Amino acid sequence: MSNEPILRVKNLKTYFDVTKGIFAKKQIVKAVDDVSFDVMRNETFGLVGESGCGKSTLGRTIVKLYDPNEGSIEFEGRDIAQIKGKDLKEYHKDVQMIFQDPYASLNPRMTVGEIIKEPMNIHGIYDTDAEREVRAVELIKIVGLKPDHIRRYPFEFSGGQRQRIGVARALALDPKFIVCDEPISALDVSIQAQVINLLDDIQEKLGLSYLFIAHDLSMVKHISDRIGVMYLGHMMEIGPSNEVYHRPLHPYTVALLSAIPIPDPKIAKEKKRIVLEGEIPSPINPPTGCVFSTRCSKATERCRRETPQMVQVGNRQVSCFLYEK
Amino acid sequence: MALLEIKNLTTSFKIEQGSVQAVRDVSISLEQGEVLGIVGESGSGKSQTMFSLMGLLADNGKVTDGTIIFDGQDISPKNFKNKHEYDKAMRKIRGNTMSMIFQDPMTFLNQVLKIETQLIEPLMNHKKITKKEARLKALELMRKVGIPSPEKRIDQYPFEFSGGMRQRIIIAIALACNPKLIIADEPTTALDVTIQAQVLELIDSLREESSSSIIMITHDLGVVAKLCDRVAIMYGGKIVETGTDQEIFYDPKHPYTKGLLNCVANPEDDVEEELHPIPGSPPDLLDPPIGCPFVDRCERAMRICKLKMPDVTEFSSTHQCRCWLNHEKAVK
Repeated sequence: MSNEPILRVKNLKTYFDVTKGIFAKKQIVKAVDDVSFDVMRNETFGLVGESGCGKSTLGRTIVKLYDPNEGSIEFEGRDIAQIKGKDLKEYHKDVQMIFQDPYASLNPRMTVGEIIKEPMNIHGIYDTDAEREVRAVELIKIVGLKPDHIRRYPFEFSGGQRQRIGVARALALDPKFIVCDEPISALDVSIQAQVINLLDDIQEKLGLSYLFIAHDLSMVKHISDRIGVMYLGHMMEIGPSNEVYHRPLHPYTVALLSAIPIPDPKIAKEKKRIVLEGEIPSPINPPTGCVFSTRCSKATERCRRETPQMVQVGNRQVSCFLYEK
Repeated sequence: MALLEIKNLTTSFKIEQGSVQAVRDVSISLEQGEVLGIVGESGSGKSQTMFSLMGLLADNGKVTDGTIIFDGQDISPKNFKNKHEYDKAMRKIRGNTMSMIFQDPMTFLNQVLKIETQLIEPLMNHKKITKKEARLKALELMRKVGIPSPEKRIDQYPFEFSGGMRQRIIIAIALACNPKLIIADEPTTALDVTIQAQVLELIDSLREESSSSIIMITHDLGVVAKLCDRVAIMYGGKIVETGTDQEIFYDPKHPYTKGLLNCVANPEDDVEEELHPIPGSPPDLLDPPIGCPFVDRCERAMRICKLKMPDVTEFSSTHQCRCWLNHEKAVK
């Protein structure tokens, strides 16, 4: 991991208009609201949060599947937030994505070889199909499948193997940065570890940077160098994964970590949990002030009025009034 | 006497290509008030074992062998004259002395019926009470599972509830007739971590209050560690190891159990150990291996493993394992 950021996200906002009917009041979902963070070269940045917190929207905005409303996304020093057409196509050579559901993200009518070659066709890499085929075989070997698998169809593979095909496709263009959107949550436990180790290995070999999105906190801690915790479209806390795990600063992170079931009966049965009351508020009408204030045990009058800014605490950042100097 | 005694249960499904042997020679016993966790990957037969027990198998599935004794009554399908008799008997048991909590709260609840209708249904079916009394009991149940302002919520429809609240309703329905056995099939898998914590706390507190036994089907070892007294590990349609929570987590004997424990990241550990995944993928139960189902993924497989299913080795009165490595002649 180096200290030079490959990706800088600044004050990013992605909103969706969900107004129904022409005369209805405008309803906006603030899926990502004023989020800033950096990802260093060769680093894995883990993004955690519950469903509806905007972590997937953030990932998809970075890959430009969604256009941001405001803010900037600097990739290798160039702002790509508003690029279009040719520039965008160029950008996609560097930034790829691995999807959650290995059953839905592979076209069932294409062979594995065609799936892996498709990005190369689109971007016109290599002149002949034979060369692409050679590259596809090379990729399929990198992800731990056999060369003759490229002539098979996705239905012939298990979930873990399909996810490997997804990884091979993401690697086809030699990207520098990969957004992994819950790549393991659809897989069985014994298979999850295979995919995690594969991602680890290719990162080392190819010098990739990852944005790793997940809700499984123990796996995220295992794979990430740094973690960002999101809640209702806001980034609550950023810091090195070990420190965030052992000394969580934000009250939400504290509660989230305490909720993880630990696979050890002695610890699990004795552990005193902090169980959050209530549910996540709707992102259409988020609470005023700090978005977590409705469920926070330490919330004050001020939290309900003002939105806290990110403050630096040592090598970490946290968005909470408790840490204001 | 044990509350539930399943012996040599075998279930298979007929499909075009042949018959899938989903459950193969499974024996489980459960005492009153005990919480048993059944752990396994998808396709290991853990859900089908429970569906066989409840009489809820799909049309092409059939219990081909074994006996099921529940609450002193033999409820194995072969014990009944015909399917009609069997279904009739099971309808009296399900929702009454044996109830279930399913994985996906959205598909389990009927979308077009009010919560009230769904909550009083088991009460009206199994207890001799009036609708009015049933409604009062339903309100009490909703309070018990922690649903705020039940008087208002009871007249609402499932879509007006969030995921966690829906799961609470399902738990309330399961608890309605004070069941002796609750079967929970991945009750928290569809929920978020903080909501999962709420539901687990709820199940934990209900368990302390009532004397119901719980069978918890899950793939999450964290959930097992939190709630279960005893654990059964299933693989390839067979139970490969059973033991108390302590025995399974601290002294696992079967290579699969060990592998399973090794491939989950324990967030309490700080040393960045590499995860040790189990290579390969589970066996095809259309043509199940004659020997140990785990043989193709086992690092320590021997020749005999492919030829014959190992017998049960007892390590203690609660801890049993099926593996050739425990044989006295095996190289340790």
